[in-house]
Amino acid sequence: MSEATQDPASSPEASKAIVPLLRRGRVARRRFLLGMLAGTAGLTIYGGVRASADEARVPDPNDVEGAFRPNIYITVTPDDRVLYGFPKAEMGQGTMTGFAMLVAEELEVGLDELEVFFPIASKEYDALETATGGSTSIVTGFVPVRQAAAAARMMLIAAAAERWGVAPDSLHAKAGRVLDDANDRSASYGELVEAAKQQRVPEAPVIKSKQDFKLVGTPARRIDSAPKVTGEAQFGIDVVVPNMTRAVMIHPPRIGAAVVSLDDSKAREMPGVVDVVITPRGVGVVAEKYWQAMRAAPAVEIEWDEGTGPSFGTENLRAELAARTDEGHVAEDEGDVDAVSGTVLEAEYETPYLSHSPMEPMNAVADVRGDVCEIWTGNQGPSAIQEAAANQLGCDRIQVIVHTPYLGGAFGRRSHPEAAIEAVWLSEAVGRPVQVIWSRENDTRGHRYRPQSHNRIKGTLDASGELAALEFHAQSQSIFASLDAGGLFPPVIPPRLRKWLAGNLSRLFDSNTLLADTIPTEGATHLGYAIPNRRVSYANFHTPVVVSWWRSVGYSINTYVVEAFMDELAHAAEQDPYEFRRAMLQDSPRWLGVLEAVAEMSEWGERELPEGVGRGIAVCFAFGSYCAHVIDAHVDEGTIVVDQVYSALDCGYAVNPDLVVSQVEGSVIFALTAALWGEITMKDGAVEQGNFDTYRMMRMHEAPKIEVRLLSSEEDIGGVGEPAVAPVAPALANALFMATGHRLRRLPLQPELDRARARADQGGK
Amino acid sequence: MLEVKLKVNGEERSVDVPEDVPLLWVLREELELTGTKFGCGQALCGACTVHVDGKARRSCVTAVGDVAGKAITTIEGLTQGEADGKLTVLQQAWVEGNVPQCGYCQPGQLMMAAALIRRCPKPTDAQIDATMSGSICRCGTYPRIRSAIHAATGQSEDGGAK
Repeated sequence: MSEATQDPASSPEASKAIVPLLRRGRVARRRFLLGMLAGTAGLTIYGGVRASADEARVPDPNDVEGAFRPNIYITVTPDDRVLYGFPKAEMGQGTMTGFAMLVAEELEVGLDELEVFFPIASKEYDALETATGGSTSIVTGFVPVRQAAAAARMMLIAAAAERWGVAPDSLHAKAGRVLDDANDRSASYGELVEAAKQQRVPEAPVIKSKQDFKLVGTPARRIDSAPKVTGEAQFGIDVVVPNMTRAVMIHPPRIGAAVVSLDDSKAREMPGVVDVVITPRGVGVVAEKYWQAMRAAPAVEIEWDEGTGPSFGTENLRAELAARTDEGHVAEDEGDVDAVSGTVLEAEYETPYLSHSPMEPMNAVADVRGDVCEIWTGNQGPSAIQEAAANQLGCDRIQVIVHTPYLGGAFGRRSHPEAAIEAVWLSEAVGRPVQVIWSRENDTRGHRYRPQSHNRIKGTLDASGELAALEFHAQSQSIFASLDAGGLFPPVIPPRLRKWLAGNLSRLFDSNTLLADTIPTEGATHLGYAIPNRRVSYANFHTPVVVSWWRSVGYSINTYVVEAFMDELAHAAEQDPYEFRRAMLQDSPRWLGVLEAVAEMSEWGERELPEGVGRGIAVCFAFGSYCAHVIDAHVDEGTIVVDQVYSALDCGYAVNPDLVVSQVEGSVIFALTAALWGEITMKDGAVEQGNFDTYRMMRMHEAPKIEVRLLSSEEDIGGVGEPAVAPVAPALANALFMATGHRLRRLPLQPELDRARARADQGGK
Repeated sequence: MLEVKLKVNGEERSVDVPEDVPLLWVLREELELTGTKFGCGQALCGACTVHVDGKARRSCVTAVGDVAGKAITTIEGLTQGEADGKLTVLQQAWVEGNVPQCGYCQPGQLMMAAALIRRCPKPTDAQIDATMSGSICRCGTYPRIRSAIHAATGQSEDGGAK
């Protein structure tokens, strides 16, 4: 800043601006009740715990007078409305439609008849954990969601049976009515509401078997399309509450930098400006309108300190990682990799930091008032936001009310509460509701990235060309260790989320200690390949950069390394890359299934490719599902062009096959963006990318043709939103090796290809 | 401040804002038409696309004073001219093709597509690319957007007439 040499505390102008934050106890700590619903005590919840009767609640759409509410999720009204409180985030993945299909199926109502809404966060709805991530929603909801609906159906049938004096078995439900075929009579659900309330809640509701499904398993239309094509759908950024102000956040220009001095006198004179507030995450410029805050923000003169990482840069980090020899932790150790001899192949692979960059920039509305903090924000974990806000305000979690509208994309980013907490701080400071909207630059520089990594991989081929040993070593930054972002948001993994993680992801790590963090090696362990000797290890490193889940998480890094290296091994063994994999997957039928499917779809080895086009293949297991891609690509005057992608996914069972296909298509394009261009770099502690001109996204004319085949194996249901991301980068890198002869071991591929071509031009290798 | 007179979705509106305020924020905050989205603020992503006198414009870089008196159509006004509660053929194709995922960019995509088919009733893939490449979709709905445009214009996938 210009003339900001004086101590801010001694400047009357500036001191006025510095509002003391983190005044613990601003929200009075007490048990409070807001429209406590009569008769909700002891509502049965399937797949989780019973709700406590004195949970604080605000009215929710399910609270209809005189309605039948057999459990927290489902309500039937006397006038035949059927409501469903969808307890997850809808961020594009289609879970809202999937869950609604499960409810409609078991409750015997039309999908269009169901009124689906987003409930506020509460322990009751949380029973089926509201956190959305890890491709787990349908996996964990497939039975309990149907049980909740089946319970309602059974109680309505029991009510009708009682009324007519017949056995419940002689009745059935159809299209929102209970039918007595033998006596040619029927009653609508609404007519049965009063009697249904008197029925016993079944402990173990009878759900349909798959062969009886009429709706589930069909390519039904999304229930959220109509509001999304008319502009009606409300995202977090669209929330307006009475007396609301809007804020621009000026984040530190360098990681960890804090305000040394600030002159907001000019900004405060600008139209509409309400306040300028220093927070632990930068300076908030609060105005009546966002455009007013946008204009005032550049007028705030700020001097920042150097921060925790003034000399930090990703190039330094690359060099540091390449030199490191830390052995780390062993995640998998089978056979004896050291006892094998043969042809040894070794390589080093690198992946960069990546931003999630959802189309809706991070935003939140918070209203801190009296004994309540009310928050509206698109998020993947309302309970984590409740915990974080309560922690900041020094109140109980139940005093934090979280509303979750539609999410304009997330990809892991909306698991973190920064924008919501900024809004809480600002609302507390100005005493009015505040909406924080990050600029695109804020969002790109938001410091929640997929970790940068450095991987060493080594394979030994025996005399017959078979892969006898594989060693994999990852150097990556632990996401778990990074979650509390410098201690701002402890406890960041609330006990309930921890419990959920333990229940759903116990395969991956010990959620009690969080010590055995296997995310840095996922995609390298539990391979389907018959490799007798394997060793997978991981060394953590720490940086000032805060890292995050990024769609497909560790798989997005490690599947690239493993599957690109498999290609190297196949070539070293002088074998076809498909046949090389196929031979090692004979005892892994579901791996083999997707691999053979993409080979068949692409007519692998049977069709001559156009001149200059290369073809690559990759396969993986991730999030309970199996996925393979074949990618055809060529290079046109130095620019990589992706021509065609063939994809096969085996997720066991598809609740809505067309939405599963759309997730594969979307995953491919999301992953191609990252594989081709995605790279967040830092220099002197500052992120170099900002808007979409410097952090490039795939566009329509660059998107390849994508052909998707779903394999139904009647096995356990697997995840859908993420698995297809993982094998994209290696399949493309392998295609480019065939097309150009350059082995690309560092993401993103376009600049790596540029460097490889430049080296080749200079006569290097 | 000057009063700026606007014609939005067929209605006369007036707002008290400086003439250089971006149309996007006037629509969203002054007129509470939140279907038009903020994505980048620099005309890089297309989420804020509206029609001005029938042509697609990026509202995030359009000064409200520049469009005073002109006919502005937002996503909320796209169905004007349809029977009550009915979607346009384009919106219907979006619904039938399960196009939207998160949906945030879709108002902008639809406004681009609507402007395209107005001046080019049966666009080829190349024409679709030329227009639609200005609009980013992070969920990767491009193949379905293409199919939906073809479906809405009565064409098969390769752009030929059905």
